[in-house]
Amino acid sequence: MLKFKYILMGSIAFGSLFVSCEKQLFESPYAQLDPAEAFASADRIAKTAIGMYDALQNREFLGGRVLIYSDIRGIDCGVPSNFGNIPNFSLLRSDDLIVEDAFIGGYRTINEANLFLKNIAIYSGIASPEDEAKYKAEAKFIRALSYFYLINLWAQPYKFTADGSHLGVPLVLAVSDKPFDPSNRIPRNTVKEVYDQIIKDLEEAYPSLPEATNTRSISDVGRATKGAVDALLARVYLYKQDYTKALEFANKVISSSKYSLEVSPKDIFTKYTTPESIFSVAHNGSDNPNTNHALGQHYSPGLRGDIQASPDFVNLMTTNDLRRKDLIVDEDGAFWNGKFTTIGDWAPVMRYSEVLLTKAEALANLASGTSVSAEALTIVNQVRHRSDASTSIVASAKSELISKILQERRIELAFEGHGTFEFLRTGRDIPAHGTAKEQKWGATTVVLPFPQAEVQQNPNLVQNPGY
Amino acid sequence: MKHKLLSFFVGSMILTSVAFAQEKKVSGRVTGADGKPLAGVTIAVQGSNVATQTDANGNYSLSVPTGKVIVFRSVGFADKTLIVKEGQSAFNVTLDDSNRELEEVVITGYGQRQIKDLTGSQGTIKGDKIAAEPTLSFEQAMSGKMAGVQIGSTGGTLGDGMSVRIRGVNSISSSSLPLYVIDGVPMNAVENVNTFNSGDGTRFNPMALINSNDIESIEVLKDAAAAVLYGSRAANGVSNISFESKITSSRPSKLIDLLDGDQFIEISNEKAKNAAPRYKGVVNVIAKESDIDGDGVNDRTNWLDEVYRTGIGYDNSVSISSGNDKGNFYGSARYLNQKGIIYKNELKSGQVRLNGDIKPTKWLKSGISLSYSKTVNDGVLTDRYIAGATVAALNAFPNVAIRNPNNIIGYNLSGSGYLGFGKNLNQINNSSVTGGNIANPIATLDKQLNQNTPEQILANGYIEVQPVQGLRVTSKFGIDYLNNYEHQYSHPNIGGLGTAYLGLIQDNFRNRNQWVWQNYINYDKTFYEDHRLSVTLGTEYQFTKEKQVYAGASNISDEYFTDIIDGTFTSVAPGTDDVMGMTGGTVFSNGLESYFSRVGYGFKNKYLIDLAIRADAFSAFGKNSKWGYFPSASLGWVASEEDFLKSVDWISYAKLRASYGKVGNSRGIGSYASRDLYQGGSYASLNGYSAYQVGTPDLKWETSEKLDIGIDFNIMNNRYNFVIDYFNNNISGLILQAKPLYTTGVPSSEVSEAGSIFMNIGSMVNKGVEFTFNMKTIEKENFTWNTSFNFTAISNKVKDLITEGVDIIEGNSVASVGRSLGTYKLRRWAGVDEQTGNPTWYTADGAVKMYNPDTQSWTQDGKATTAMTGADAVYTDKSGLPKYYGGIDNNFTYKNFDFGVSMVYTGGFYIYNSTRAALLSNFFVNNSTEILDRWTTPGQKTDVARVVLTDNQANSASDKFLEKGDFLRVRTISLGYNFGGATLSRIGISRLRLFAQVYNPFIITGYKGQDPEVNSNRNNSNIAIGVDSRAVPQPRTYTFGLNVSL
Repeated sequence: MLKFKYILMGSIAFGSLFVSCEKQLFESPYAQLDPAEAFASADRIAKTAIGMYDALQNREFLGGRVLIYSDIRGIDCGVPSNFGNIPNFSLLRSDDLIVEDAFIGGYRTINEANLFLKNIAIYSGIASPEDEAKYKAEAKFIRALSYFYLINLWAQPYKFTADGSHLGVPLVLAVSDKPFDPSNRIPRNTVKEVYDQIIKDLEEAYPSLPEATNTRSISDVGRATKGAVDALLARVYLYKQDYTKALEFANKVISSSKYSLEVSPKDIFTKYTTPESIFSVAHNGSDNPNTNHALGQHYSPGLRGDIQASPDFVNLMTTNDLRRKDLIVDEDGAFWNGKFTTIGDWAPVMRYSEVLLTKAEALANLASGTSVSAEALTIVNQVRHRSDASTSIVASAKSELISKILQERRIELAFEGHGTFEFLRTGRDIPAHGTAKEQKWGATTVVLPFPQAEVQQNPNLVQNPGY
Repeated sequence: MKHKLLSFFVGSMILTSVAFAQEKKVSGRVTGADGKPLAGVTIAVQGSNVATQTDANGNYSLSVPTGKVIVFRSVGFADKTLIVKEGQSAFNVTLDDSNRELEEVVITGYGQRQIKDLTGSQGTIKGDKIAAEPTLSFEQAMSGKMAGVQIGSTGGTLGDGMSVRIRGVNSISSSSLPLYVIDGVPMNAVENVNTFNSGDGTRFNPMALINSNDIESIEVLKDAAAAVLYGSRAANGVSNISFESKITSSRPSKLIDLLDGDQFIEISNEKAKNAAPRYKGVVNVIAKESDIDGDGVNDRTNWLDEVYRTGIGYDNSVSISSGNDKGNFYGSARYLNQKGIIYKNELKSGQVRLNGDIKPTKWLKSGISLSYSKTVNDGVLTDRYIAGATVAALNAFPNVAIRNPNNIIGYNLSGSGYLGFGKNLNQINNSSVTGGNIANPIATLDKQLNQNTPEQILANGYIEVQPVQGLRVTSKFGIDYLNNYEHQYSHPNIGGLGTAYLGLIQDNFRNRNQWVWQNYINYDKTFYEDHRLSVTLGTEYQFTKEKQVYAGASNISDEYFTDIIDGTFTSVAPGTDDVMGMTGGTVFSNGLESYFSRVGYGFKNKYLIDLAIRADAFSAFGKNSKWGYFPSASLGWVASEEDFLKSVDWISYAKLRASYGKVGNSRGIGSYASRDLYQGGSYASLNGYSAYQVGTPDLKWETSEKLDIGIDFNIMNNRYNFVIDYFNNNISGLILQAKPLYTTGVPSSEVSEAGSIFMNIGSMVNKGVEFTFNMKTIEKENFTWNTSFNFTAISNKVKDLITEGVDIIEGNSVASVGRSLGTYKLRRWAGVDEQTGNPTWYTADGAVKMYNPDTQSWTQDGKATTAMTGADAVYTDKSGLPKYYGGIDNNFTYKNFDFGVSMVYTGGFYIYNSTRAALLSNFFVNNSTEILDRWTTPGQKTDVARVVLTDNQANSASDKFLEKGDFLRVRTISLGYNFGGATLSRIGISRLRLFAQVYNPFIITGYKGQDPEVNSNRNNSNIAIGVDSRAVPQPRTYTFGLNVSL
């Protein structure tokens, strides 16, 4: 018995030392992968490339909210009260949390693309050269698209100065290894520099991207294609008022014969992968950025219904117009946008009718003197007649044609994120609407503030005047 | 009655060689120094498990082998030992209470010591003080009971968490919660078991799963480590059964005064009238009378009265203990049912425990401790959730009804399932003027479910071998198995998730299992009478693994089904053919490996020295930085043992202490915080991987260097007891999930937040003084009065931050070098212009700018100017951290009555009252009555600007809403009566106590909000420390109870 107690004591005292504890205590993650694992095979790299689109679904940004911010500062939505002070120009301050979230969302999206570019360079040669080039091109497309929205929300339009030399947004094109290092205090690039980068990224992306296939699926609409690059370039040049280039890229989309107008405009927003769809951020019921941030949630009166459609906007259309009949909802004594009705709706970014209207606008502007471009008129009526064959657009002067094209664009692309951009890029004041007063073109209030916290932590970041 | 199990086996080492002695019946009476009989004194036979207790008259009897030592023991008295000799059978004993609790044994981690031998600063709270308070979790009952410890509440919803700060905020990482150790085994560090609504929905603090009746005592280690140790009541060899039954009734301690229906109509229409310039000159009457419920009169609803109620609860518990010479056990069971102060908030909890020890031979001891607890919590969504009933009740229109007979489910709901506005005009010019949808609070509470069912098993077993005298080898294994089932049902007709998904049921199973294995050797020996040596050497391994599985069902066939039932749902997204897959989950683990050693040496019980070191490795830290080494040293000098003081009569006891050491902190850190990681990131129907986190490869232990200098002294025959400590705590390598510049775009663990990275971001210091004073104010035959008072003064300063010259900002609060943590940085309010009623503020350089809501423009000295900007915010010298706090307890006994008043106070801190700002909203929502002071006529002096519909510039963040939080709160007033005597004894009852208590009866404060103690920021926010944002107030609770011992 006496011996037993020493045996027991000995086994307690030394038992633990024989246990190789580190292996048992320190485990690898079950739910995550190290970068080396995420890039370990061609199949994994394909999925990591998809992850860039997961980031593109950012609920505060291209998951849909960023489209809303342009529209609620425009004139077709009334002045909703759920989005901080974004729609209340003069009340908006730099500590607005909604603005902060949008800014964070934009750079988060860009970081995912930059991170992929960094890692694919490290783990090069594992995927096939064609796939590797394609993924890199997708990263650049996503980056360009994100900068397009950042530059148009946080900076004055390209033509604010003759050469775009006014301040834009900081260009971050690589992942920082030391996120807290002062080297991350990047100053704002000029608007021209940002546009040049967008164009460069898109031009570099183009050769490696596929054409959309005729049997449309998520890969043809929800991922970057040659058509998406051309359509975005057409828009970018239109915003630069470089009508020749805008026309060139609109024509490239049209001549690719991959796209056409869908017969029913409603179908574009319920079927998502129609011949008219060029690029959308895909969602479904299980994979939306956040139920409460889904476009359908904000617009549909059956859901949260935060945003109404203004009667002035509805009155732009005849009662025969399919966009009035199918895409406007009359409920609770008010008008609502019917493009988004469910929480799984895709966020449309570019579609064929926009390209047609871009072409029409470019042609109308390029027409010599005060002449009316007949081709522009034909094209804009192509868009009109798809929804309303009973009326036609006519114009007797160049300026009248341009303004009618812009109005058709307003009707056609309403609630798809073009609202305030349309006024700013064309040098027009934003008219008074709801409780919002008229905002003069070039006023400090027409651009968003940089988040107060960011400005305080980055002394190189010059705040927009007035905030 | 409160005894430490282990105290029976330390202390006197007298052993007898009599193997099988005669049993002898011994009896007698135990009295105090005043000659009064002492009830509940334990009489135990040393070296065996034979024991008994005195009855109400101080009488006892037990059988003792001759030659054995018997020990008389009671809290507050020095032990008395006697040797039972042949021929003696009656022992009348007087216990001496002059040495207070110096002889008592406290747990210090991997062992236990007598208080008089301690060289560190450690506080103790007795379990009966904890159990006496009607709080669900024991931490709150610690409030005001111990110097240096500050307890805050996150609200009065059942199961809400607490913030526990020991000598200030010691970390700004996600957790400055102390480490909880039960029966020597560290517990799971979880603040909230629930995960839905990003943890902002129903909260449940797992500490509420501990039966506070089981707590023997709580020890707080203040200098060596911020740790709270507590031992459960253990077998003490006494056969005893006691029952306790309590009934409670609770009301919110204070509610905000809101506008009634008539006032609401007046104010709302004034807002609209003043907003004519905003609405193109149209003057709208927006607030109108409605009769939605069809009762023939205009609707009026006081929503706060509907949502808050009187909560009734009962709490029954029983405990039994028994023992014989080979073992003892303690068992307890408790069942409680509480209806909270919020309608539909209800909690039921059952808790059982069994502790047992066996001692089959002299050299071997072994025991197990096992507890199981289950709670069914019907939670409610509150402050952090905008559709929360308590938030909606603040905004809801008082001129609409709760119910509408024409609605499909009978409530006043709009087409989208939110509160119906009746005839009120909720939009002007196609713009909503209500600032968003408002939930119908009652429909929400009636029809939706936010339940959780946590279960916890705490179990540990140990074996202790004593091969030679003084040497003990212990191995102890413990588990903490925490299981939570969370269940949320969103009704298809109620706005939000329910309408979006045509009914949604979400379930989450969370399973967190932690095991700890400790092996240690203790050696205690006294050499040549004067030299006492104690050595501890050991290892500890800890492993935690958590698994969560989530399932959801939507598009439910009928509101009858509120659980996930086969075939009752389609999960088809409304308006599509999309079937939503709603399953998810996660798994993670982390480990801690530790080696420790301690050497203590005492000379003549006068000079004490203690040296310790531990080495810990935590899996979340970087490969090369995961080990931390934490040495400490402490000295003690019992001056009263010196000859020159022995002669000083009035000094009973005096000890000087000093300690200095390093302590590491790893709590609140993500399990893999040092690694760059990808996670699953699907894109609609495509699988993918996207960035999960940016790691910090050299992430290391947060380290505190703690200095403590203290003095303990008792004077006038121990009648007055003082403890004074000075402390200085330098914390370096502060770990924070810090946000780099947004443009770096790093991923975020929370979708709604900016990306962040676990980093060692800086250093800070907490220093201060603690003072405790206990006094036997009056000690008379039939009347006693005891007073204890404690006071802590503390200051905090941030010394260093990762990016030089750049603050870490959270809301309106900052961590800024040279300032106290939680310093407010705000724009300065300059008042309401008397002539126009427009709001004005000071710019950073002191100029006054005025905002005109009619023109939506700014003026300075009458001239147009630019808007106030972020740069106009200035540092205040005010912080959310208190400068001082403490408590005062007074206890009286008169004959069989006892009466106690316990108070807590906190001062020198400021609260940002964002509730007040929100309730002055110029949206078309209800307001607090403060808005009745709004400006209406030129020349009027007021602080509330002219009301203008939808223009909230006047309520934007400024120091207008920064308020002093100082308060003195009477925490409890209690009254008890002890029945005793022959009648009770005859029916077999040794003790019967009736008691009544009021908890939170009143508070003295200048704070305008509901409750200065309630902080809507939980522990994970140590920068924005003092924000009041629509939190639920703490309840005022009346308790009536009965306690019976057989």
